[in-house]
Amino acid sequence: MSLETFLESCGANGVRVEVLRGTLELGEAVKRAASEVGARLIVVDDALAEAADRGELLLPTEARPLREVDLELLRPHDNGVLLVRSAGAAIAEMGAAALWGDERTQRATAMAEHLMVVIRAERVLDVAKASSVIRRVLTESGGPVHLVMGPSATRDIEHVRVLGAHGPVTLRFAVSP
Amino acid sequence: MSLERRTSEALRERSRVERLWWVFEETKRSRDEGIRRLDVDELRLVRESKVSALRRLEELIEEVRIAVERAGGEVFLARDAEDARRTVIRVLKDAGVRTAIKSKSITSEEIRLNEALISAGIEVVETDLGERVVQLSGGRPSHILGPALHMGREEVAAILSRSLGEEVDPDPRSIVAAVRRHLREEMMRAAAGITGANAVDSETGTVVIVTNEGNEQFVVGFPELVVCVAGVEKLVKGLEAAVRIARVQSASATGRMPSYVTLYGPRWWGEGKRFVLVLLDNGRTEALRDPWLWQVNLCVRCGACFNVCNPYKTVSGLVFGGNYTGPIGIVWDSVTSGPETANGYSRLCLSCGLCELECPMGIRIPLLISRVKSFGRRGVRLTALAEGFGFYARLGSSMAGPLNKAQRSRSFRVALELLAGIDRNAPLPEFRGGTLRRALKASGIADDGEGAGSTVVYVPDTFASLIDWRVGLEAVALLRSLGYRVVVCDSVGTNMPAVQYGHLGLAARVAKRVVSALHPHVERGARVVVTEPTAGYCVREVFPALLGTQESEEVAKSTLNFTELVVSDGLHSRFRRSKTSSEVVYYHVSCHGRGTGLEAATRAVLESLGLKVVSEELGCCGMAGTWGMRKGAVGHGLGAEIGRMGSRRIAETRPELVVTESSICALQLRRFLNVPVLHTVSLIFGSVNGAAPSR
Repeated sequence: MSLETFLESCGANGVRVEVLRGTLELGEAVKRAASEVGARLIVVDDALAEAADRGELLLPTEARPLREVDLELLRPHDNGVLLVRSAGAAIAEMGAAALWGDERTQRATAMAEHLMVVIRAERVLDVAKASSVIRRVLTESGGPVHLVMGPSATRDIEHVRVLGAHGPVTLRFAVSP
Repeated sequence: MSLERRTSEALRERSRVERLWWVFEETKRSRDEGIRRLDVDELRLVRESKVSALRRLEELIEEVRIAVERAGGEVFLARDAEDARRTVIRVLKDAGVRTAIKSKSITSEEIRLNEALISAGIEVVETDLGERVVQLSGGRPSHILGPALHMGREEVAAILSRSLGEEVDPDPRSIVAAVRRHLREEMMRAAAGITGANAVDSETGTVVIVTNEGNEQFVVGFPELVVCVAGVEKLVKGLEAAVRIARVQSASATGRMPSYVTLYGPRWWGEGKRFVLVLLDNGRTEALRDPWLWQVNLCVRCGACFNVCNPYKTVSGLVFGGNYTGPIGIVWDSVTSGPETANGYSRLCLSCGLCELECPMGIRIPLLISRVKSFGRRGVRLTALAEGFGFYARLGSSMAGPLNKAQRSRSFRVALELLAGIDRNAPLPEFRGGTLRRALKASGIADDGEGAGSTVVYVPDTFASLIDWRVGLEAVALLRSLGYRVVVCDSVGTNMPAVQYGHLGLAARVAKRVVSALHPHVERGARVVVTEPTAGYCVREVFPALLGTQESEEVAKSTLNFTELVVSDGLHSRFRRSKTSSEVVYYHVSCHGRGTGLEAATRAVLESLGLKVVSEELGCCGMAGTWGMRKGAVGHGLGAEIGRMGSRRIAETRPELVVTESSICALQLRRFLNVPVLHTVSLIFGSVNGAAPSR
């Protein structure tokens, strides 16, 4: 399933996607995102932090690895944290990023006020293939797996859409080669 | 409080009626776009996976039990609501849980889980925003997806201000901010999470849940114990099938993908977490043995059927509901709580049939509801003349003058209301006098199959036969002028009221009689034509379901509405307009004409007459045969409100003329509109013959 389908689906879902030309562009993309949402703190998940340590990608110097962050910082609902996470896979037809990982990372994902998900282009799959990958994760490593397609939102009050019911108020994807 | 009283009170809440109509019209618009974007194969795959799972449900139950237990989780099969409540309470108590957080789950509403937990001393905190507001209000959800849709922002703000001990501004953003702040702490300290499921994969025990708010990430991610209560019908084989269900559910619910689909099960990333799956039967497997009701198990709980149900939109789920709400809720309540719960509000269903057209799983909701209504019927007792309108029509055809005069008298209407249950304020048709058969004879129009063209058998409805035969006469004349050989069927009416009010035994007998009369003609190659879409709906959709015979199928396949016949034979271009005073017509498609080829065909005919056609999907006009004539709020009161809402929208299009195929819809629309309302056949006849519209 093509990246094009994924981008179309994200467009239909109203999620902003940035397609990066190289992993070195990620740092700038993160900085832009942080500035646009007015983030007070940038936190990156451990997988991305380790990749940056290995020199595979570039992250803003002010970004802090999640492993070094006290989760209490994310406890307030208006914590001003931009969490940058890597997706295990993405589903093209749904415009969904599949997020899994340890409990700490998953909790941080629920709590962060802003979320940016980095998706590697070759991990954009169709429903059938993605389901098979997710099945393996659920049976071998364990769940939960969250398919994320938009920011936390509700229409419960007079059908007016309001963002940030519980989880991230903003969501954006960055697709890296 | 009685259904009548609750309906009457709901009708007085005008601002709520206006708001709900707007909400559901918006939702439908968005939903229609979303469904169009889905590949047709996706719907087929999901339906097939559900059907296949239901066929081997016992096998899947065993499979999921093995998968969950092997991965360290626990599975309980609950026979009924009581069993499920007891199981959840025991699991939570054994784990020492005092507070549980919960995501929205209609299955937990079905078993009244919250009340049981609170009685057992366990605090439950709903985490879905709307559900939390409803919980704090002490009420019940009115919609399976938007539990607080019946509430206005001021009401919500007042509830929150009272419960949270702080002033909450009625702006939706302020309301959401207050709930976000208040629930975050609650969600992070709870010892247990309780969820429902959109689907459960039997192979891995994975629960799939659709949410938009992101509360599921807290409910599943923070507590050490997570309990899922899911109906057995949620089981499907394979994770891919489960994910596809989530996708279709979302597309059909809102037209958009949800913000989150959460997948979790017995195996956790890390140590120390527990997963308990409570699979609930509660009538579902029994329903599988019912020839019609089994289909309810295909439901993906998208709520699409709610969007087109005008009675629901008008009174909300507070009235239109038991444990469940909305059209499919009638069936769910019957299956899970018993027909008496469902029949506590099933009278609100006017059998327009539109819900079936919306259902992504193709569940024949209207017929299932008729089946539920039939459980409350004993024999063929006609509880009111309104349910046997044919008798009244026969009386009117033979003594039109006196009856028309009597209908204008207040005392007669009061007597009619008391004796026959026809509301004193309901519109009643003016009788023309005589019958179509006699009118045909008098006019000299041959209806005995003479002519050179192909044969059509015209099935006149009760209205065209007995009340005002002009439509029937015009139809036969037009068909003859187009060269058809016309045979007029002597069988009067298809008795939709019998289906509508759950007299299925009587409905089947009528079906048999009509099919027996038509089948010999169909066998000889004739086609059946109707001028009333409800008659067509009965012959095409209902009779095969009632009879299940090859004859009924063959008759159904050969039946067409008047304009469908003319357009499919390419004859509509022969209609030449000689004179008409109107240029813009509003076309009101009667409910039973939707989803057939009728709408497109009639448009083609009207356009070939040089008319500009305007039309909207407004749903039922509120009359629904005799439904809107019945005494009281559940009947004429509600029907009139629906008629008023719909007619206002029609008037906004500023038509010079309104056309419809349904004589009963016309009766209702004439009450609220100041323009002529004509049967399509009459408009065509008048246009061709140079008559100005008058009816």
